[in-house]
Amino acid sequence: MHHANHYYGHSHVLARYCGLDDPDPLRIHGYLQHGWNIGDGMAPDHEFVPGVPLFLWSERTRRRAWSLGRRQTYVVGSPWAYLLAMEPDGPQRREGTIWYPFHGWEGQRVVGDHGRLIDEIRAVEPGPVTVCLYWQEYRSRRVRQHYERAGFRVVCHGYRGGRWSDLDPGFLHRQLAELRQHRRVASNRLCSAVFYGILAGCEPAVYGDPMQLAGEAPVWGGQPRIRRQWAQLHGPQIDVAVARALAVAELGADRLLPPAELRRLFRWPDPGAAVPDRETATTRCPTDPVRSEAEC
Amino acid sequence: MSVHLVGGEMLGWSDLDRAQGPGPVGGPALTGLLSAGSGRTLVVGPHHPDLIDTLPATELTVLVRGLPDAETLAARYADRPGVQVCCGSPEKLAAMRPYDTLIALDGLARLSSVEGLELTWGEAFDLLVSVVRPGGRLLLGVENFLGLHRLLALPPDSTDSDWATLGEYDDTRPAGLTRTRGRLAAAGLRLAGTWAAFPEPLAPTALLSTDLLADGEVTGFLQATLSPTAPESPVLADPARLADPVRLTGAAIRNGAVAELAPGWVLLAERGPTTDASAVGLPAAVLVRDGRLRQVHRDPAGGWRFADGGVVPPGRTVEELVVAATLRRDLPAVRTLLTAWQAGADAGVPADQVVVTPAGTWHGLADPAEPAAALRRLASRLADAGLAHLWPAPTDELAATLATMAGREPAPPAGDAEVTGRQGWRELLLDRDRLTRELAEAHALHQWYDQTLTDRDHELKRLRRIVSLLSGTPTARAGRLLLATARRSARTARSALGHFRSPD
Repeated sequence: MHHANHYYGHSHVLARYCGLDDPDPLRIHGYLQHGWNIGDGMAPDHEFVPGVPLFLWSERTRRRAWSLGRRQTYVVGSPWAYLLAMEPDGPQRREGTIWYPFHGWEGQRVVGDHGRLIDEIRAVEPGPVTVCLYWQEYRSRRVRQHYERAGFRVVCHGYRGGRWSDLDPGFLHRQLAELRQHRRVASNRLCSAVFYGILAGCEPAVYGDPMQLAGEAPVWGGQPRIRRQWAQLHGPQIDVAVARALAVAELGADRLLPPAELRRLFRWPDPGAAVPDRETATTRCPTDPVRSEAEC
Repeated sequence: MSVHLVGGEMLGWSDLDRAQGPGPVGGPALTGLLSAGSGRTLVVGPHHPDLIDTLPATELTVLVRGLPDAETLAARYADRPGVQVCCGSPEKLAAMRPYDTLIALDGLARLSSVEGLELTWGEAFDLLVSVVRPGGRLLLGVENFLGLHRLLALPPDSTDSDWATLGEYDDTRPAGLTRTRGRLAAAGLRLAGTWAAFPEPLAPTALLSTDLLADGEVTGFLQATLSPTAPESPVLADPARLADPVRLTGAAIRNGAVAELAPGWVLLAERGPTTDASAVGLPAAVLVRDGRLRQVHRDPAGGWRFADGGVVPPGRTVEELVVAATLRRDLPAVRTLLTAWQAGADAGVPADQVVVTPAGTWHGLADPAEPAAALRRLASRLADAGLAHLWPAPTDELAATLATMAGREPAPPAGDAEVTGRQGWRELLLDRDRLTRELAEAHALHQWYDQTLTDRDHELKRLRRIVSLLSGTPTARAGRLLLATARRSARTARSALGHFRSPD
């Protein structure tokens, strides 16, 4: 129903959870929340079709969406929580911090001082640091080298996907593998990645210049509201138990549906049944996360 | 036996045959209270003969106003020497010797004859009380004009028996249960018991004492008891119904007002020392369920018991718990409830007939049927209650969604022949609004699909052009590419020229 349903390989993760074809997921009959947000769960520019249900991550988001006039809202939990339910944590050694500098999305530009941010990271983080850049910044040699010169390892989880094209089923898997190698997860803004990290067992931290998007207009209260409402998740050291409880709630890890129920909700068939409703889309190159399959 | 004509008799009138009025009061539930009768007994007003049959009377007088009714009764009791059938106006009672028991379960509205005085409720009441001897009992039926059966009904058509019916405009008639009790007390009667009658005062299938109704611990039992278990005929078949009264009954129970909103009451009063219903062995409830008569008594150790010794379960029904959890959007709780229900022994018992006690035990209060039918009934009741919008599924798929949540394989939808809910005008309006909304949504979705198809078509055309340009021999590819570039250039030039010629 919406190309954003396939961002970050979300539909792929859910299809696999439902016992269906993982690389080639079916159409979800509804709008799936694709990132943590403080509004109705959907992107600010999301276009709604009346009667199409919203599949939201958390009960708090559902309540908020309802109060904003959204109906037919249903809490299903985040794809990330489903992925974790399918991929139990192993006994691997965790070390250092994975740091997610705030990024813009396609067509947006971040205004901020990366140099000052690097100084702050150095002052706080005791161990090795991996910086994870959004694919736009990762493609910028200048930004990448900025962090590499600071001695940080620089990675990118991949391209989140376009309009039914260049989808990346492995995005969340790579992110999970990275997070589970690190003891801490940090960012200069509270964001999906921080919640993901908490749920994946990392100690969280949110500090440093939060930076700005060029022409950024605070939506739903913006950063000041986030800092007020989730104050417990801000700072270089955070109570892990509190953070985990908040992450469980925000990612709906306590609200996961059984596969049969999820299939019915998305109008997906039972495993092995005829597939009536596959969406036409292309996927990314499996070896290079920021190149398309055609470029491989 | 001959009929004793007391004067004022109506020669061509019958209250028993239903041709000229609503028929007599009756039903097996009322027999559970007739053991209050003893000694010299008088029955006044139209009572179904089945009720009179059960009276343990060695000296029984029946007073009716229509001669055909009197003759019918006289023939029926021809071989019972203790029975006397009288016919005529009630005011003639004043000359009779007082009775040990007076039974007027039909109330006081159908006593007067067109040939005699038109007694008000107060006058008839005083007259009846005067013929109860000190220490004697009065078993009186009172219709509630604000009862659940009338709240959702259009004004009834007049019948032949409504020649001067005052109804709720009779200012001698005490309004409501509290004032009725007060009126009895003012007449020197001591109240020994009050039962609320459902669903109709003339044909109750449930008589529940006000003590039982006031017990907040057993609301689940009350909900189950006052909800019909068998599919009923659609309410629209009865043009007097505006909505399914069962839902309003449920709301009355939840709001603690069900005794006051009962369709009618049966009051047992005594002229003399105080007694109570349990002292005379009367049940706290008499229920006709699935063709069986069940009685409930107060347990001296606390709570209530069925006559067979089974405990009346405290707690709420599965349906109430599901609705509450749904309104809270506590889907894990909904899932747990549905799964426990459908995995247990009561899977085929409707959710509104299963009580979950605070201790966590489950009690089915109706006969089980197919689990799929029970799920369909729950879905239908949720939709009729206006709760379908809480589920992101078309209403006709709600039963399947509930089945999936319960961990069951959804059953195929039921055919039209199966009526799972009662349809009144309210339900009809709800359906209309829902269908209007669903149609608008379907139109919007259609437009979206149409636009998406157009976008995909354009994309397909573009890709086909690229494929065409890139396919074939290198020479052909170069030629087509050149041609396409030339066409595009020509289009651009024409466009620029056109723009130059028309500067606006």
